[in-house]
Parts: sequence; C-alpha cells; structure tokens
Amino acid sequence: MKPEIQASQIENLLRSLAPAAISPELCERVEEDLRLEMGWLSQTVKKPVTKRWLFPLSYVAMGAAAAIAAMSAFSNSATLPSSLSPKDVASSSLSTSGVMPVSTISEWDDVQDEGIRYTADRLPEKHVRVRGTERHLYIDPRDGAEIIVEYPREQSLVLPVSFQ
Amino acid sequence: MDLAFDWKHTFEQLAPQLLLYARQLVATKADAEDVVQMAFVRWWRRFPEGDSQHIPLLYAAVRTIALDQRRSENRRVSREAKSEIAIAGENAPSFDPRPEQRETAEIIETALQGLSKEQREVVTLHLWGGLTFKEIAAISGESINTIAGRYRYALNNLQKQLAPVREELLTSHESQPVTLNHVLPFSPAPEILS
Repeated sequence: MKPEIQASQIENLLRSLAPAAISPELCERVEEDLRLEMGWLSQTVKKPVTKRWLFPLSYVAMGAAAAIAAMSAFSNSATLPSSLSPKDVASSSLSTSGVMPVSTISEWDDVQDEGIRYTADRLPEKHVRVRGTERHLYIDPRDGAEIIVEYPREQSLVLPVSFQ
Repeated sequence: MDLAFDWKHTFEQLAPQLLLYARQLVATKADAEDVVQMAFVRWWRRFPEGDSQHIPLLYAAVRTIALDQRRSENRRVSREAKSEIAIAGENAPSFDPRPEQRETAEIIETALQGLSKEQREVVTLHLWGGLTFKEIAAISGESINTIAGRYRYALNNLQKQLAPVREELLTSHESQPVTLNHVLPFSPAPEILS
C-alpha cells in the first residue's frame, strides 16, 4: 500500500494553484457599477442646503434655528408627516428587524417663510415650513444586503424673534 | 467623476478567489461573474476603505447572492426541462496553473470534485479565501467544530484520492517555487484543527 500524502503537503499543493484570473470585462462592469453607485452617493451628500431663508432673521433667531435644526437632524424620534403611508412607517422601523442602520441623510429641498406671527401674549415668532427628503440606509449584517428607505418630510419650525 | 479610491487594486486581489468560490455555487462561469460583480459593488458601497477585516462579509454576500440566483435558476431550468445541461462541467473549481503545474492542477481539480460540496466550500474559503474556521462558520451558519470537521474530512478524502499519484505530485510540486501571495492577499489567522 502506498503511503498517503501528509495533510500539510496537500494544503501546500492546493495553495500553490492560483485561481483563474478574472476577465477585463468583469472589471469594467464593476467599475461602471461603482461609478453609478458612487455618483448617486456623491450627489446626495454634496447637495447644498438652501440657506436663503436665514438671512432676514436676527442673530437671536439664527441661534434658535441652529439649535432646532440640530435637534431635528439628530433626533431618532423625528415626527413623520401625516401624508406617510403605513408602509413607509413600517419601513422606517427596519432597525428593529435585524438590520443595522448605517446612515441617515436629510435633504431640505424647499424652505417656505410663513412670516412673523404673534402669540396670545403678543410675542413675535417666525414660522418656517421646511420640506425635504429623508433617506435611511440599512445593512443586513448576515449577508451584506443593503436596504434604502426614502420618504418625504415636512417640518414646521417656530423660531423666537427679538426686535432690536 | 473621480472615484477617489483604489477599488481596482482590492478587486484584482480578491476577485479570483471570489470567482472560484462563486463558481462552486452557481451553474456557469457567467453566472459566477454576475454574482461577484453584485457582491463586490454592494460590499464596496458599504466599506469603501476595503478594510480586510470586512472580507468575510464579502464572501457572505457572494454566498447569499449565489444561492438566490441558484434558486431562481433552478426554477427556470425546471420549467424549461433542461436541468442537467447547463450544470454539467461548469461546477468545477477553476485554476490558472503555470505550464509546469497543468498536470497537477488537473489531478487536484478532479480530486476536489470528489469532495462533497460542503467540504469543497470549506476548503475553498479556508485555503484560497484565507478565512478562518470561525469566519466560515459565521457565513454558513454552522458551528466551528462542524467546519473544522468538514475541513479535516476533506483533507482525509484528498489524502486517499491522491495516494496513488503521491510521488508524481510531490516530485513536481517540490520542483516548483510555491508563491502563496498571489492567492492569499490576506493571511488567514493560524488555527488548530480540533
């Protein structure tokens, strides 16, 4: 009976064989896909936020606006607009179904200045309506599958105003 | 647009091993290329730094996409009643041997075909993919002991199959320089077989 090859010799034999090289066409296809994918991401991330509505406000109002904007951007319990369907709401809770939230991108497409109004106490406040889109990216850590959920978002901001 | 990262270098390093793995999971080489393409783009979009610690996730993506594709392909083939035609001869691991390795490559490729698909998967992921048994276990949803056992049985099977050509294989192998870097871009962690 012939002696067997040792396990380590078999491992070395197998490792010495290189897998077949990929075709240049495959590389080109991947490059094209990546260009499309990264183009989309780049456009999304770099899109400038409209700021024109900030200029008429006083410095006090600007500070308040920044605080409110930061709170709304980082809040996990963002208010969903009433126009959302139950399907959208279900999608937004994907983070509880085994997938991992990766990023949230908020874009403000339109800001409508609704002017200054006065409260019952005769205090001035500025009303601003912000419309945009919120895009959530999730990943399933088990297989790397990505899920993108996108829905329109509308917020009504009330900013304190002081006249100087 | 400037992609601003060196995805191509990472892809060229990883793709041959990914393709080798994918070819064992789907019917044809063209299908395997589709699987690798989808998996890599998905992975790179998630990990654009190409960090080696996330490579197991790339293999997991290949596995998931390939199994999905195979399920839909099986349904299609079943409908068209030509089940074995597309699969025959396409499921073998594919190597790119140097001229002096061709005979060895044929012998080993045949021997690998003698393994069960589970054993072949572990051998491929461990030796060519450079994954640890723990990482393979996470991908396949099996225990580490099961994976280590499959690997051990696979080597035992190969030992038996290759015994008749032992001298021929070892003689030719010892006369060749063994370069592991071209097949293992990322070294696997040392492990002890239980």
